[in-house]
Amino acid sequence: MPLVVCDASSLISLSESCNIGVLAFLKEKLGFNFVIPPSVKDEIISHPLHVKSFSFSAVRLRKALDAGVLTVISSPTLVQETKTIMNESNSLFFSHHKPLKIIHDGEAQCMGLFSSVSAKLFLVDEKTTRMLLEDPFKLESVMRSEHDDLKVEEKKFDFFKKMGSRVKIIRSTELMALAFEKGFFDDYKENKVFALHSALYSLRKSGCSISSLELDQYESIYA
Amino acid sequence: MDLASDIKTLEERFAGKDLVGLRQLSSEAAIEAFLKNDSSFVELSVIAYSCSKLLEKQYIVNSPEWNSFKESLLRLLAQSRVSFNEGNFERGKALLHNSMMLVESLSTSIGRFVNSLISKARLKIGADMYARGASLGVAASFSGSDKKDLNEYIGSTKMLDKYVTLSVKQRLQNAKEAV
Repeated sequence: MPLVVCDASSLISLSESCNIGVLAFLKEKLGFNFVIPPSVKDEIISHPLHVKSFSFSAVRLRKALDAGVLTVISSPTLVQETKTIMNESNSLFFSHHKPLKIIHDGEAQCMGLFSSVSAKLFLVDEKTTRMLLEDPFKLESVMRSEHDDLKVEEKKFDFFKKMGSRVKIIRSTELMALAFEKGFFDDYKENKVFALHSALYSLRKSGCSISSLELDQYESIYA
Repeated sequence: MDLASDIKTLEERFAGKDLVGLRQLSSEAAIEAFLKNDSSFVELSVIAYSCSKLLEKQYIVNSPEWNSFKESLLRLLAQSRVSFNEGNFERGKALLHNSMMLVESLSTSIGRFVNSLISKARLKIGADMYARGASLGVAASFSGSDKKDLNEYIGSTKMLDKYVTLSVKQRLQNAKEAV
C-alpha cells in the first residue's frame, strides 16, 4: 500500500473545497495509505475543534481519521529529524544579516516523517516546502525578487535535494486527477470532466499552490 | 526601523489622517516583522492598517465615539513608545497590544465591516510574508491569522502563478508511478 504523507495545507484545501471524500475513494481504489504526523493532527483537528468558526472543517477531518482513512504515525527519530530540518531550512536564507524563518515545525515534521517511513508520496499544497525539496534554486530566485539583500547558504541546498529525491511530491490537484481517472466523478455523467475542472479551480481558490498555466494544462489533458 | 520611532510615525500619521502613509507603514512593519522575527511589528502593522480603514469611513470618523477613541489610542501609543525608549519592552508590548484591542473594540462596536478589521489586517500581513518566502505555516503562525483563512486569501490572488517547479504531466506521472 503506497504510503502518502499529508501536509496540513493539502488537507485544508481538500476539506474547504468539499473534496475530502477523495481520500477514502483513493484508499479503496488504489490502496493509498494516507498518514499524518502528530503536529498535523493538532493543527487540523485538535486545535480547530475548539473554535466554532473552524470546527466544521475539523469535524470532517476527524471523521476521516476515525474511519481510518487518515492515520497518525510517528517514528522514534521524528523529533530529532524535525529539529535538524528546522535548523537547516531556517538558516538557508538571510536578509540584512538575519536568518529568515521559512519553514514551520508542522511542515518540518512532515518532511521528517516521509524520510523515516520511506513514503512514496508527499502530499503538500503549500509552495515553500515543495520548492525547497524540488528546486531550491527556484525558491532562491523567487526570494531574490522579494528581498534586496538576500544571502544564501547554497551548500545547504544539497541536504534538501537529497531529501526531495527520496519522495515524489504531489498536490491535492494531482490527487483529484488520479481520482477522476478511477471514476470519482462518474456520478456527474456527461458533466464529469466539467466537475473535475471545477474541483481543480476550487482547490486553487482554497489555497492549493497551482498556477493558472497549470490549470490550463489540466484542462488540455482532461478535455 | 525601530519600534519606538515607528510608533511615533504611526501616531503622527494617524493624527494627521494620512491614510496612504498608514498603509505604507503597515507594509513596512510587516516586512520588518518577518525579517526580525518580531511579533511586535505585526501588531504595529495591524494597528496602522486598521487605522487607515477606520479613517476611510466618514460614519466612523463622525461618530460620537470617535474623539474619545482617538484620544485613548494616541495616549496608549505614546505610552508604548515611551516604554520602548526606556527599555521597558514588556510594558511597551503590552501597551501596543492594548492599542490593537482598542481598535478592534471600536471596529466591532460601530463598524459595518464584514469581517474583523484585525483579522483582515493579519491576513494581509500573512499574505505578504508568504510572498516573501515564508511557508503557509510560518506566515499563518507569525501573522496570527488562521491557516485556512490565509490559504483562501492567498488562493484568491495571482501570487500562486509564480511557484511552478514541475509540469503537470510530470507531476501526474510521478503520482501514477507510486501506485
